[in-house]
Amino acid sequence: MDSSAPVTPASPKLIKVKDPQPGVPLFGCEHLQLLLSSGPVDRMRSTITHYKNCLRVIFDNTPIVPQTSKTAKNQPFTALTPNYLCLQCTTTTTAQDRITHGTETLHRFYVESRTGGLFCQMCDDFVWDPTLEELRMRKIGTGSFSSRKRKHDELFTESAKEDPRFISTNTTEAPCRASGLRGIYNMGATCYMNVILQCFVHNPLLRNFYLGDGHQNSECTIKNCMSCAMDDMFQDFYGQEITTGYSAANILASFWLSKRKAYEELASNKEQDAHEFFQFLTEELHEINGGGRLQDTEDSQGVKRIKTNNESGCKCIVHQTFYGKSQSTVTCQNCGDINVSVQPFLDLSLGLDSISKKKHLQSTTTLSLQGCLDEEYAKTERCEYTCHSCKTPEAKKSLSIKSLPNVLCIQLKRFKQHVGSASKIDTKVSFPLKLEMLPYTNRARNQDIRQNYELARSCTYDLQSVVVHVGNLETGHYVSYSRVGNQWFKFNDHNVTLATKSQVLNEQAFILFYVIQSLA
Amino acid sequence: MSTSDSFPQTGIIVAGDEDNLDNMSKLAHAVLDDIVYNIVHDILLKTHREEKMARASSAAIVVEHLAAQADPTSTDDSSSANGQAPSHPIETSAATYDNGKVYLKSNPLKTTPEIRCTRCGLPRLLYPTDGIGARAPEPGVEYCKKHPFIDKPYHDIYGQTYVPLGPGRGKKKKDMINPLAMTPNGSQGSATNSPPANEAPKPIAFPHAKCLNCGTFLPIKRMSNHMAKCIGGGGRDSSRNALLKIQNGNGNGTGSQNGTTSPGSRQSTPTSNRGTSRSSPIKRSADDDFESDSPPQKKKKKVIKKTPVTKLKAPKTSKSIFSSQHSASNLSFEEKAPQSEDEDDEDEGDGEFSTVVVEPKAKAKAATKKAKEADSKKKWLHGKGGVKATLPPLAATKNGNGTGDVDSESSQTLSSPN
Repeated sequence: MDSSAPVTPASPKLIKVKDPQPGVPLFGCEHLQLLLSSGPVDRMRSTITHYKNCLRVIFDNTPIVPQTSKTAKNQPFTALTPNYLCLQCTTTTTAQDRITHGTETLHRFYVESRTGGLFCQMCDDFVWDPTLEELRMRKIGTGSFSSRKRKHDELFTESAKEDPRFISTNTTEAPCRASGLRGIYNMGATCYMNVILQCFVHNPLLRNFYLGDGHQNSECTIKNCMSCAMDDMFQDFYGQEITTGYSAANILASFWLSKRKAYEELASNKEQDAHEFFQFLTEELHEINGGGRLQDTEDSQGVKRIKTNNESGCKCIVHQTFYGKSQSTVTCQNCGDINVSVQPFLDLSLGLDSISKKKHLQSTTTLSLQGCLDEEYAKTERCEYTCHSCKTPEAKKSLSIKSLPNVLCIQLKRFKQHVGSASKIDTKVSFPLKLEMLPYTNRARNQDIRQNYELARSCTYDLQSVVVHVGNLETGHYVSYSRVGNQWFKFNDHNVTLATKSQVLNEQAFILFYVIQSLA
Repeated sequence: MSTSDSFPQTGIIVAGDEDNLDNMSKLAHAVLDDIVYNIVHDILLKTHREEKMARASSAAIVVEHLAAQADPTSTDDSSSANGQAPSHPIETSAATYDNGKVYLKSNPLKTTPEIRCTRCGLPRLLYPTDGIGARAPEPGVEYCKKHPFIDKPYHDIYGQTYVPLGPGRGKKKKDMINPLAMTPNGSQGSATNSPPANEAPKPIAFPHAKCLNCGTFLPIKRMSNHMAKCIGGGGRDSSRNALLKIQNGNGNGTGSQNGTTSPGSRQSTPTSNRGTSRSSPIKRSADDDFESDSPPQKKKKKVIKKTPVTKLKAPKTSKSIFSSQHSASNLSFEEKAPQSEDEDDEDEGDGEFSTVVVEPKAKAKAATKKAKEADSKKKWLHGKGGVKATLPPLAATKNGNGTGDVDSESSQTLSSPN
């Protein structure tokens, strides 16, 4: 990744077949091997370049283009079902015509028009070639072939570029059975903590941070450090073959010992709000990892916590993971004066109560997450604001998202305060497995988003974890669901069971964690 | 449109009566059909991708393994992949290994029946050992330890059972749904040394965990409650303790003159305190009985043995106070009394006490007993530091005065044979 990059064979400019790796065949099939390895080097290069072009056609434009083929009479023919783009010429064929095209031209490789998968006609099967598949995954994920587009992406590709021997000598390989799937024991009404910890354990960014020695236990000088406790937990989850639950006693102790003013109420042996614990945990980890807290805490108890003024500039793991920016624009109705303010956010809180009221819905009607987001981040509303220049009390306010976080946390406020009493809102909110956030960003206002597929894809999120509250306000229980690969798991304290997608989607969610697609 | 240009009939959904449909219905049917086809296509492709890539890499692992065997100089995979490879290519039915590179032969879905772990190279178990879709694994095969997850009621993904808590917080037997009533084969996975299949698998046990603040080991279920007391300073007795502290503080403030008279009254307070706190540890130990068997035994003994000591000590300490005229230390004794009673195992006592208990009763434990008493005294007189000074007289009084107490007498009789 430095200036001497052209020398290294892994330079992205150079088109070549991926270096051999142990445990991975060099090519997807023997026919592809003939195409890519025998013959002139130019053929291999042109094939790969052409595959890239095919992917561009598929992913960067309207799907009509790859879905349209030409009939024998040269008429455009658009189908909903998959088409095949020839890898060796510019023809697009339907599934039926593919064989005809193959016998006519001896072209054997085709790119499927909906997913970009490579089809080998000689195998009569889809082929997953390491070189081409990497390009495809990268295209789907970040929308570009280079691995440098997103900073966090380096976390993944950088290591792959290094010498495997270097990696093997400097890392400890986790045992096969250690999958990170363990329960956490309930220590007496600590399920509010367990669900948040499970969501953290299955958060890819936090996982990589801690497993990559992001916070080193041995070098930490902070007493009762929460980050050390987290580090312990991650090591235990991913490095041990234990299948029984985890005792998060150290985390609980660090939590209690941290004695934060805002969360003193939380530190008791009563049932607590999971979202408040989430806020606590992120703040605590931010201060420890972001340098907001002085390292020598021994003599500086008073000044232990210094708020970093430029919170947005913080590069700590919590900010990298959870923080985005929202922008509120207040427009004066009289003089058109625009007042813009940008605020960082840790999570998006959606007040179900107010949204139901705005929409004049019965509390029993099912809302959708997108509908709630529409209400909060896409529509403009009248607000009480007096213009500085013309003193008109008429203004419109619109809220939008300026920058999206890598992990989007959405809280559905299920607790409402009435006069004197509080109650839980049991409104069902449907949430998707894939969430498109582009319509709620301020970019969406500026340009025609329907045309920009690449942008939309970079704003797509995958559901990672769901926190569910069962019961009423006084007493209840938290359970959480998290996804590992395509499989969902239900975490109920120390019990881990398999869960189906429909089971997850039918739950009455309280907190949702979405991970940006390129990472998930 | 000619016939050759017609849309492919995906035919996933069959409309009821094809002939009587109007155009709109036909269109809707065709679109729906295609969309369902696409969904199925995508799911299938995803699974296909996972499966085929896993098989392809399995084929590669097998042939690499063979190559490593054929060439003794290259011991591990990384070196065999990078250079000193066997001079001639090695072939299996699925792949060819040549000079550090692996080439596939034909379709790995056909040639490679097994999936091997990319980490350890052992074959993966393809079906769960229990629950839905379970199949008995082939005996005598060493599988990768990563097993398919088990989907079975009242069992977690590793096949461990758990007892779901019933309505009454699940502490009583009748509150539990017993999932172990129906136990087919518990665990018969590749772990061949596991207990016999018909043996009812144990539910996940609740471990003990160490409190970060005080270092006590406690049942995990009580951790939060403990921390409320230990760290949070909350808990049921907190207000009482605080009140006691305030009162003692006042006594301290009034000066030493009062202090000379107060020992008597102070003496009474600790003993009364003793009375109340004696009942509470018993309560607690009963509580403990619930969760674990061995620790409460220790605690009971401890409590019983401590009582004579403290009673005996009462006049003694008052004398020593007269001599040392440090009322503050005595005060600290007072306020410490209930606290240390409460969490004696959290102080230095734990180790010594356990050794005492561990020793068989047949061995008369006069020595250990004495040591223990010294320990407990040490604890009581902690604040003062005058342990050595007070020790000999105490031992003496114990020998002389202890006859009144049944418990100490018994210990005496035990000690005499030694």
